[in-house]
Amino acid sequence: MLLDNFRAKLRNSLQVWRDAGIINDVQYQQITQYQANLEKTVQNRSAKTVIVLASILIVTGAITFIAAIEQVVTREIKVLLLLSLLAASNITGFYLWQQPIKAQLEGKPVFRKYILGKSLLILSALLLGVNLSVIAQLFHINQANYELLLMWGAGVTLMAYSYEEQTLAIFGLVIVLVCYLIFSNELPYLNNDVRWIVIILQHIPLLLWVVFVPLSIWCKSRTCFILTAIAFTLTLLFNIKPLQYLNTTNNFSWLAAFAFILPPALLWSYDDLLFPKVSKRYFQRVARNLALACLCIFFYILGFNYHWQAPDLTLSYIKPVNVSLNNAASIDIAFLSVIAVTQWLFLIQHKFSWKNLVILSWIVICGLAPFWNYLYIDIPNVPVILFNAMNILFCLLLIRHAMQTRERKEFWGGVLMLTLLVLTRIYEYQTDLLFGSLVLTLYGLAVIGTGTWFETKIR
Amino acid sequence: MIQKDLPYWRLLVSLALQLSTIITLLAPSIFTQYTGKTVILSTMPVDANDTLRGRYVALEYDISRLETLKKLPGWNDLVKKYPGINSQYYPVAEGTNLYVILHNESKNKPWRPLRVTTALPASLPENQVALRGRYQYGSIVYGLEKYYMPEVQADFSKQDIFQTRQIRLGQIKPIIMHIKVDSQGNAAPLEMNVTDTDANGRIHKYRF
Repeated sequence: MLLDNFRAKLRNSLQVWRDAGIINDVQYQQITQYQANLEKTVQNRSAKTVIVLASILIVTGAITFIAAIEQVVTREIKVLLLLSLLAASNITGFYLWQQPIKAQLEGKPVFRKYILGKSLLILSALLLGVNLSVIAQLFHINQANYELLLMWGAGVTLMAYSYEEQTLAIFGLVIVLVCYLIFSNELPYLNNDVRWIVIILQHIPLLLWVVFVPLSIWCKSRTCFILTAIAFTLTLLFNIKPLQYLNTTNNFSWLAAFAFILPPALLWSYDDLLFPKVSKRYFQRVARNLALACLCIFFYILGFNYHWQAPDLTLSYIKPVNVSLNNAASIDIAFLSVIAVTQWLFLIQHKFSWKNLVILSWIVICGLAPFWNYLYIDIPNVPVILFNAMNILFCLLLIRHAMQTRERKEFWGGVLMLTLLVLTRIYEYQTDLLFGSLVLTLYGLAVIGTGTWFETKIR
Repeated sequence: MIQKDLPYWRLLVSLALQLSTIITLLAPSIFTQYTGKTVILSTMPVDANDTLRGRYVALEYDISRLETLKKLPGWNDLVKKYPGINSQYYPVAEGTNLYVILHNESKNKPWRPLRVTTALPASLPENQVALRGRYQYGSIVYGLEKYYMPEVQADFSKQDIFQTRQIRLGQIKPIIMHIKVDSQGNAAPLEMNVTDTDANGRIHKYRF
């Protein structure tokens, strides 16, 4: 509406301007022509809005119709209807989705059918979920929500594999993650459960890495890869909960060590070329950036004093950890370690570089964190200082690298991380106000100085 | 935006995989229906408002109750193995799996619980089955408790037993469930028999 109003005003003004001699006839013609083109797109947009509204009405009508006949129709017909709806949506979606690709291969212009086809494929993924839940209800299958969700997630992921479609891949990943979240609420109450679904969900980090990383390559989807990497790291950490192993003496420090080692080690050594029939490095850069981010976050987390307090200082709060070994997690660790070692061997034999060695040493430092207590060093706060120093070093290296390569994002990322670190430490130790203000002012000045210098330099 | 030109068999593969997820969902239940032994269970006669929840039927069995299972042999071993947070109110750890051994004394009579075990027994006599349950919020859940059955509501919404039950609780006949139990202890429902409390005492049968 607003836009249309503006156009009408512009049309009037144009005539006034031409009469006043501000613009000449040729310019007037050009602007009018341009206007006419714009209006056409606006009309197209209105048509689209009408179509969307109409389809919402149709879908609502269909749902109401189903609700109306629900009591009359037998179970078999309902299932048949649902299945044929799913198949129809798949087939028309695939057909429309593929048509423009064929047209373009033949040199014809690309149509909007592509978008429609793709939307229909996504609709099919949704319909699969509807099918599963309704069929479970019709056949009186009493299942937990996460079981249905896992089935749905698996179905959508398989769809993504067969269509090589990145939206479906991301959708499948999200469903599986939601399923894991729901399941993790149940996790403490699965004492002697032996259902296969429980076993699958306990091994979700391994599954994410083995299923969704190849899928990302298959669909060539960066977003899917990034999401998979983040989800993998978080689920692995959540399954092992490594921070609980830092302050008490226990038998399973190595579990925590692997939780710190595996995500950065796997991500840094990741190489697309290891997969068969892949000739280009799609995600290696992203994976390395993620590995660095992961290391930085680990340094940041391990830099908190809270994790390193000796048990005798917190007598009232000693948790009875690791009564028994987490079997699922150890199996995951074994498999993932094999993958990580293979990747590192490939990396080292490919080309020797000091960078790899530095990163490896950082990963090892992270991995040694859970064993700190066994050293019985009486100097307090050594690990805290160590990890904070590592974090500062990391940020400074990042900033230095950014200055060399003139990467704005990297530079400001490093500065922000450093700022976060300074602020956290000031609040953590509740420093004297005067000292705090001094540090903040000095730091602010330094940021302004380097920031302006950097900005002028890259210009 | 432009991707590979996909062959049409990809569509067929995708459809087949989608269908297979649906079949995977149904398979365990169908397996139980075909291979299982038929077992008759009687439900607890409970408040009608509790049983008929909209289009859902919610059932409670004798063996759902802790009071029933507590008397059986094997219960103490279970409590010892998976102790709960409070020996009186929460005797068993939340989510513990258990097997109730049921046996029938005579045909067409409800089966009775015999004992409780933590592991599936290797072999059982012909007239016994092991039914798997899960301790959840103070009762045992077998996956046989809640059913979406709009037809039950249609039959009983006007005047019948589910309404009158509340008044004449003493005369209620329990709902009889016919179920199938397979060798792994999984159960699937077969038939539900509801006795009308009207004078004729007609039995409504619902197939699952």
